[in-house]
Amino acid sequence: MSFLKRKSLFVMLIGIILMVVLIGYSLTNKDKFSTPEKLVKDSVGWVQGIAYKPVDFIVDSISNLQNLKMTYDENQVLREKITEYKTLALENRELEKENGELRKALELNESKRDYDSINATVIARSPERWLEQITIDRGKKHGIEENMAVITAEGMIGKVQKSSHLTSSVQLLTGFDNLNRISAIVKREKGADTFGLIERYDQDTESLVFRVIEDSKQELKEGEKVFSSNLGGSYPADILIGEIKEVVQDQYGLTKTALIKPAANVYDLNNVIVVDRSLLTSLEIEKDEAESKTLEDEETEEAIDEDEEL
Amino acid sequence: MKHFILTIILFGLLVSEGVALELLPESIINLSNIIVPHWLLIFLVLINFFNDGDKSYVFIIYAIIFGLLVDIVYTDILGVYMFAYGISLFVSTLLKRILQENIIMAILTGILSIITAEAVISGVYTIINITNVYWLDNLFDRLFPTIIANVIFLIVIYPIVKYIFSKYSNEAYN
Repeated sequence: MSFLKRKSLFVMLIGIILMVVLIGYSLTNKDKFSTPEKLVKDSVGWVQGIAYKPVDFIVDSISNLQNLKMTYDENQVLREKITEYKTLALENRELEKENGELRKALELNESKRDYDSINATVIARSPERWLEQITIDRGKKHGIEENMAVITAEGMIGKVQKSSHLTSSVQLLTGFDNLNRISAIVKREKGADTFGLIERYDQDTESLVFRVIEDSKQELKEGEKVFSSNLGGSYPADILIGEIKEVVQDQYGLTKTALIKPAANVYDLNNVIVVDRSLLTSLEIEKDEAESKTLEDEETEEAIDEDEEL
Repeated sequence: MKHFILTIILFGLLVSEGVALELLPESIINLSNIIVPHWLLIFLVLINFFNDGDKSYVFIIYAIIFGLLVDIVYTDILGVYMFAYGISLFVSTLLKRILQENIIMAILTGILSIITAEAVISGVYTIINITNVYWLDNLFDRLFPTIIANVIFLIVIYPIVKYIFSKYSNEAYN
């Protein structure tokens, strides 16, 4: 018996050491999958893709039945809205055309708003709720890289944490910590915009924490919309993140923080869009980093000059 | 052959854990309560519970392998579920020697193994700073809902596993 006990203790110790080594390994390689991981993840992802379809069908048909009740009222409202949208769409097309022409005149080829989008389907959600991860059925093969923004029609939902060959894991906004900051902006029709950083997700208040880094002398108000800005590098500009729920002073009374309610519902996800800031892939950056930088600077300077002249 | 079927079933459970949260109505998921499906663990504990042979270390190895798979597929932090599932299967093996073979004892074993696994998981996640939840909040927000949800799963699969085992042992006698 004592021998048995000693043996199980020995095994347990080896287990603890193995666990520490594995955790250490996975924490140091936070943004890349190792080859065996990729292999497992892709093969399980293939089965998940198959298993998800019937479940999705059942869930969808149940929610469809629930929606059926409200369809008539919604239809009335939507019909009214469509007429408004028609004129808006026409206006939008005109403006887009004009914008394009003006850009051509200025020889500005890139826009901070441009992005390539890849459609993906959610195939699994991590049962470990503290991590708030989902798996999507698109990977490196389809052009997905780490740190791309993931959105739905409603707004931003997260970013690509790691991508394998055929699948990728997406970190949802509700699981964002200090390592995943988003540079954001509060846009206003009148007055200056306010820049800031989305620092983390706060579990207690169920909202994102937005810290103002540049005071525009204009108070943040409840209900103002927060968008991503192009200053962060990896995310394209003007993706809706959420709405200000509450404005609070920070600990020392020096800066303002706002609590933001995410625009998209991260609990009801089926189809998502992975967006990539086009023309800014890592390869191209390596290729003509210096060149494009100087060019961009010149272009923006020119643009500013011309603006001032106008 | 037996091992092949067991592996297939466990793999199926691994995949279905990923869609388990989709099946629950949104109103339950949106609450502050966290439900974590530990179906693999429950299934292995039940099989270990019914197994008369003394080769319980086989199931501990199964738990370690599939725990590692859960880590790879769902959490991206290797080793945590692997260790937690291994330990809790070990605990259930110790309990099996004392307890009788009926549903209440099965539920008790299931609850204790979930508590063990959850303690290891939340402990390790707190150490590596994935979460910092006060343990009392953790108890009410995560542990109790998780236990309830998984015990319901255990009660559902208990007759099925029992039937399979009785059939299997009858065949062995004949």
